[in-house]
Amino acid sequence: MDCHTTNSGSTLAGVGSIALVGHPNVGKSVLFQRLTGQRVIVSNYPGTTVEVSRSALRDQPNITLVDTPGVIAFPPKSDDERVTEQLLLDESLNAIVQVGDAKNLRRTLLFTVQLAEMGVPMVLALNMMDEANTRGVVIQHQKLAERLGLPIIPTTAIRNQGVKEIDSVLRTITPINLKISYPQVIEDLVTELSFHIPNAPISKRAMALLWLSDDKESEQWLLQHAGSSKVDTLEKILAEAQKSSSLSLSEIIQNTRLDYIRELADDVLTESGSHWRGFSASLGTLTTHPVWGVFIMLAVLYGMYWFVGIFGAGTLVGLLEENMFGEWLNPLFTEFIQKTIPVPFISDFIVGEYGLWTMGMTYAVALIFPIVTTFFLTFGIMEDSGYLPRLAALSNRMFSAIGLNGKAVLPMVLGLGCVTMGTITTRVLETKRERLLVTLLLALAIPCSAQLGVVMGMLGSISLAATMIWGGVVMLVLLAVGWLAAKLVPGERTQLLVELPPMRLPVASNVIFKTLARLEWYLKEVVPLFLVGTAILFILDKTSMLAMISNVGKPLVSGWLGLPPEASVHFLMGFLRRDFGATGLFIMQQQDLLSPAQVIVSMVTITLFIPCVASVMIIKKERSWHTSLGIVVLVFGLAFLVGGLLRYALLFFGWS
Amino acid sequence: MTEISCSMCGFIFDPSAYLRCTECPIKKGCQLSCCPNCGYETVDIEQSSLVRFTSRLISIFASGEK
Repeated sequence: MDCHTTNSGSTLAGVGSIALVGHPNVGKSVLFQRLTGQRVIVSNYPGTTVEVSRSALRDQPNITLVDTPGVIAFPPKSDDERVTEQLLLDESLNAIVQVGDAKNLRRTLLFTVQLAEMGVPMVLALNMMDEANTRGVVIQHQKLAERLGLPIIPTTAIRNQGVKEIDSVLRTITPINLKISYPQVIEDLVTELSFHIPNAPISKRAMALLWLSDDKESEQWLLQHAGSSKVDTLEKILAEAQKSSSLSLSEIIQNTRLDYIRELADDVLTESGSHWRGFSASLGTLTTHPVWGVFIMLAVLYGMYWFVGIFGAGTLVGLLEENMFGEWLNPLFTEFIQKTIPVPFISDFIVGEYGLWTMGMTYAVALIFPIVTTFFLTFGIMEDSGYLPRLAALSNRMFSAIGLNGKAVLPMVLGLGCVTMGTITTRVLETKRERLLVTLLLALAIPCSAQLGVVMGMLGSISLAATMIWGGVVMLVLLAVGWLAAKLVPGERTQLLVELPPMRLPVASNVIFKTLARLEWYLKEVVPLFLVGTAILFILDKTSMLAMISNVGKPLVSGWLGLPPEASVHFLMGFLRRDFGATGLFIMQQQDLLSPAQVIVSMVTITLFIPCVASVMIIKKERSWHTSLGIVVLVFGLAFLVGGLLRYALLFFGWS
Repeated sequence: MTEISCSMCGFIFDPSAYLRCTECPIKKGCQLSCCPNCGYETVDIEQSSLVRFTSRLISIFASGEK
């Protein structure tokens, strides 16, 4: 049973409980075993399916140690994190032991500050100290302890180092009194809210800060302990304060904490290679600068265009497709198959116009492979150098500057992931309406990096102007979708990046291994679909349905988009994967069947298509058949609408 | 425990501890892991047979040189 008041100022004695908290995978469970080593009771936290382990401390059997689920920060984003916060709000804890990763001091401290503000007696175990030392990370932990006003013990739990010291500190631990100075608007609100907040296991200040950060668990706690009329009063105070602030209150709180931690870490942390870090910090600042950042972004995009578009889609595709496959492999393989398989239907299925080898494998290996290889290499360099998160931060700022806020904007800023996973993560949205809208927006406009790379590479080999027009139109659609999302799905924007990782010289082995892993993933996903697509085309061709499809699609494809009727087939294949459709259109361009304007129109249309058949499957799984069908029809309609409008715009500006 | 570092936010995590991918229809053979901090998809090179093969080749060449 709990019997201790946390804010009493007394030391830890008698009976009670201590919570072990921290980020996931920082060694909490190992430390839990080291500190207890006795019978562990694992049970679901009341009202949830999340498991929490409890056991008596090895040297103080009247004290129960609770191993909580990993938390990144409050407000919680998952059920696990919610349970940890509930535990802190509901149980009168004797103390908190935060287990932090010494390798990631800034990230650890962000959570430390939140916990220390709660006023509960606390100790910070800076774990994985051995790994931190190996990486040249030196932390002046005594100075850090003085500045934060709490005991800090360097530990390597896996080797039992520092465990005894924690046990000893826990016997004499006292409440913490960390007070960060927030901007006046926050301080005034905290003071006002504190009058209305009842006594809680954590400090009223921490409770007020949680409430101001839009934390649902603290709201729930207040509803239970203060009643709905009090919560209404608090909400009115909050709404009034938010009106006078352009930034959300949670952003102001978060930014203040980040500034505090940055200064604190600079004071106590030393990392090897400080000369390079000075240069890297300056470069990092420039890349996110409102003016210089845009110039650097344009230069990086131009470099990407040159390497992926000119070199990958031009030089390498030329070597592979025209020379290796066109002049050597395909004639040799065709002759071999036609000689060994005398049945024309079967040999056609392998090496005919729509043959598995001559079309499916040639598309995948000769066309897609060089483009995605160069794209993934560039992407790997951007990731490993630390530029990618800065690009995201810059885009985030640009989106914010034009008023794009709201929960639905986050997937746009991330924007480089897989739509299939994105659709699953719409579960975090609160209402059915919000989930449906974001699913639609994801299917319509969120680009998958690999598919974008393929389309961009193909356009790059045609001309820079074509690439820029395509990029501009896709960006306009993205912005329009983001604006719509912000209007329809209001809410505070989730903090995208807690901390920007340092800029560094990319490590060649990292970039190469990441590229190889991505290539393997991409080809595993793409090659079977390309072969299925080719088989479908073969059957359609043999049953004379291809000509029929071209005729059916003629009013839309030729009449509205101004493309040759044969393009209908490639749009149809775009339903399997849009890069398969794009590859077919690229081949048409190589055969001089498409003019530059037609290439741009067709590529924009296919870029706005449903990404792949897997995304349709997951929409069906998450929503329903009729919803997924509705989304497919809507996306299809919008893609053709934008494509057609672009055609007339290009004609107006003299493109043919 | 294999830890990877998110390319977007630098968060270090163990991909096997986050099971959000289990419901993805194309998870088989997928080497991407979703960062629990920011949601960005990071490639897990430990899952790649191509990476393992290349590493083996490099170590064979390296030992041959010695």
